[in-house]
Parts: sequence; structure tokens; C-alpha cells
Amino acid sequence: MYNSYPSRLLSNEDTVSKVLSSQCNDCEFIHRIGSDQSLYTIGNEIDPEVINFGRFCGLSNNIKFCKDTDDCYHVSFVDDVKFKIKGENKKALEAPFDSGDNIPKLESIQFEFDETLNLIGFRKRDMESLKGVYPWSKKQQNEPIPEDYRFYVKLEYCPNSINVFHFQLEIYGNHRSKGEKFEKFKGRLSSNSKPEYLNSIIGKIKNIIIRDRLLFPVTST
Amino acid sequence: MLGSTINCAELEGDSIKCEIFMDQNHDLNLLEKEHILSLTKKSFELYSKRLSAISNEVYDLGLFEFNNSNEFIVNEISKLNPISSSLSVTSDKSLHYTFRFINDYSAFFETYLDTEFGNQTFIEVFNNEGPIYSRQSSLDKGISFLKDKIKSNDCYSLMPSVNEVCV
Repeated sequence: MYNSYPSRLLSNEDTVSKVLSSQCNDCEFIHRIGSDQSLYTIGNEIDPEVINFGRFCGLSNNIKFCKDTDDCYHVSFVDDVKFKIKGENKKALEAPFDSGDNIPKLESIQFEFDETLNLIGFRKRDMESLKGVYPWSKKQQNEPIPEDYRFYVKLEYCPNSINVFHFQLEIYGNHRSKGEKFEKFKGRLSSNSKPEYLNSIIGKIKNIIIRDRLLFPVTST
Repeated sequence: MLGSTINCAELEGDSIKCEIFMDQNHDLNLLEKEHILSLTKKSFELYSKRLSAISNEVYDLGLFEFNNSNEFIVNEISKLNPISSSLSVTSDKSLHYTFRFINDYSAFFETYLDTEFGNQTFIEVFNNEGPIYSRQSSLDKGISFLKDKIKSNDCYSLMPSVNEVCV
């Protein structure tokens, strides 16, 4: 389907600036899930599996502009998230974009376009409305009630050299500084290294997303 | 026994499509005990593969938790006439129930499986404004709270005339 990697996806200072200025709260964001994964359970609710620990912190997604007057509206497509970068230079290609000096040559980009992947979407406004207190209250009445810390979710623009439309969902919380300062939770967790309180936060986020049906299936273009 | 059955078919790419068939005489807005039992059992069967992909030990723990608590949850929740029910088993080792009720009440029961320190259950109940119960709790306490809330503002009755005034 693609003989070479599309040049429209490469970052440069001009397109980075255009994406940044065009995005708004009504824009949709697209995330890929496995071809064998469904957004919904057989009970017709959003499957919390798509919002699990390892997935949510630093969740990668691409912007789908909401207004056809936006500079980049006609060059970004929902299927762009189906590109998977391969090869020895994958790490370098996916490093954050920092300047126009490191634009890769198209022939140096090894990739696979996986048509079978399923797509889900959400609105920036909805995801950034996710906030609350943590941790959960303990059931035992005789234990001290834990201090309530606060968390919020932010969608951050993170272009890399091969994907100018790339954003990440991040969770911020203030427990490390005892309420003083918000810090980003680290993602990509192994099953044995869950940061403190993350299960409490993700649990709450999952429930709001399911309750308000904040994720929706996206059809390929 | 109510006339509800679930038929699932495996589709291309390992995805699964299920259809729920309800008895013609049954009110489609109400899911009752046998139907929810059947749905949750099928859900566990489908989604517990995510636990066996981690290890047999985690799967066994999930199965034990399911066998231990599912019938109790279904029995209690079905008395509250939920309008929808769902169970998922996730690869971050949890059993996650979602129930919706009339007047925009919803309840979430999530049990994290922990082979080291023991399972923990977190319960959240929402009304139309947001969470009204959010804590680590035993199932009976969480369900008891839910019952009290739903019954206390007369929303337990399914008569439309009553529902109109109990928002």
C-alpha cells in the first residue's frame, strides 16, 4: 500500500508550529489497539482492558483536526497511527523532535503499515476533564484516613521526527511532594513495578471513561 | 428460568461477536438474575484468557475470586434491576464489573488480584453528578450503600410516574 514512508508525517519547525496552533479542545485523538481487541465487552460497555495501567500513562495518539480550515486538516488521516517503525534506527526516529536539523531521509525509515489494527478515539476536552483525588479511602475505620492528593490528565503535544501529529496522554499527581507540586507519572510499567497509587488513579479514570462513554470506535479512512 | 441466551461466534482475526436473545415476554429494559449470571460467566470465559497469558497462578486466583464472588454480586445486583451489566477481566489482573441503573446511577466493582498481599476490591458508585462512593471496601458494604441510595430516593420503583420525580 505504501512504497515509502509519507513525507507529510515528517516533522519540521513549520509543521510543528502549525499543529500546535491548530489543535483545540474539540479535536479528536486516535489511538490504535490490536486487531483482536474490541473496544466493547459483550455487555456493551467499554472494556477496561483498553485503559489498563501500561497503556494509559504516556498513551500515544495522533490528532484528527476538527476544522477543515486548519492548516494540516488535509494531510492528517486516522490511519496514520497504523504505521509501525522498524529497524535499528527506530529509537532515534521516535525520539522527540527538537529542531529542523534532524529530519530523516525517507529511504532510511523502515516501516510496516498494519491495516488490521483497530482504532479508537476520544476528544481532548473529555480526557482533560478527568481529574480527582487519590488514593482510595481505606475500608478499615480504625486506620487513619489517607491524605487526599489530586490528579489530572493532560494531552501533550510530543512530535517526533517521523510523526508530526503525535500526542501523549499524561497523568499528573502531587503525592510525592505531599501536595505541593504536580509531577508526571511514568508509563511503560512491568507487572511488578506499579508506581505508588497508580492503581487508585487508573481505577477512577477507567470508571469515568466507561460511565461517560468517552472512548469511541473510529473507522479507517 | 428466564428466556435469555448468549450466542458467541469467533470471527476473523480472533475477535468474538456475541448476541443476546431475550424472551419475547421479558421486559428488555431489565436484566434479571439468570441473564446476568449467564452474561458474567460467558464474559469470564472470554476475558480470563488475559490472566492465563500471565501465568496459571494468576488465572487460578482470578477463577477463585470469580467463583467466590460472582454469584453474590449478581444475586444482590439483580434485586436492583440494573439496566445494563458488564464484566471484564484485564491483563493488569483485575475483575471489573460495570452496572447501570435507572436515573443515571452506575456502580463499578473492581477486584485487583494480588498473589502476594491478597486481593483488594475498590468500589465506586456514581449518580448523575459524579462519584458518591469511592473506596476500598468489602462487596457487601458497597452493595449495601448502593441499595440504600437507589431505594432512598424512591427510584427503586420502576413505575415511570415515580421515576419522573426522583431525579
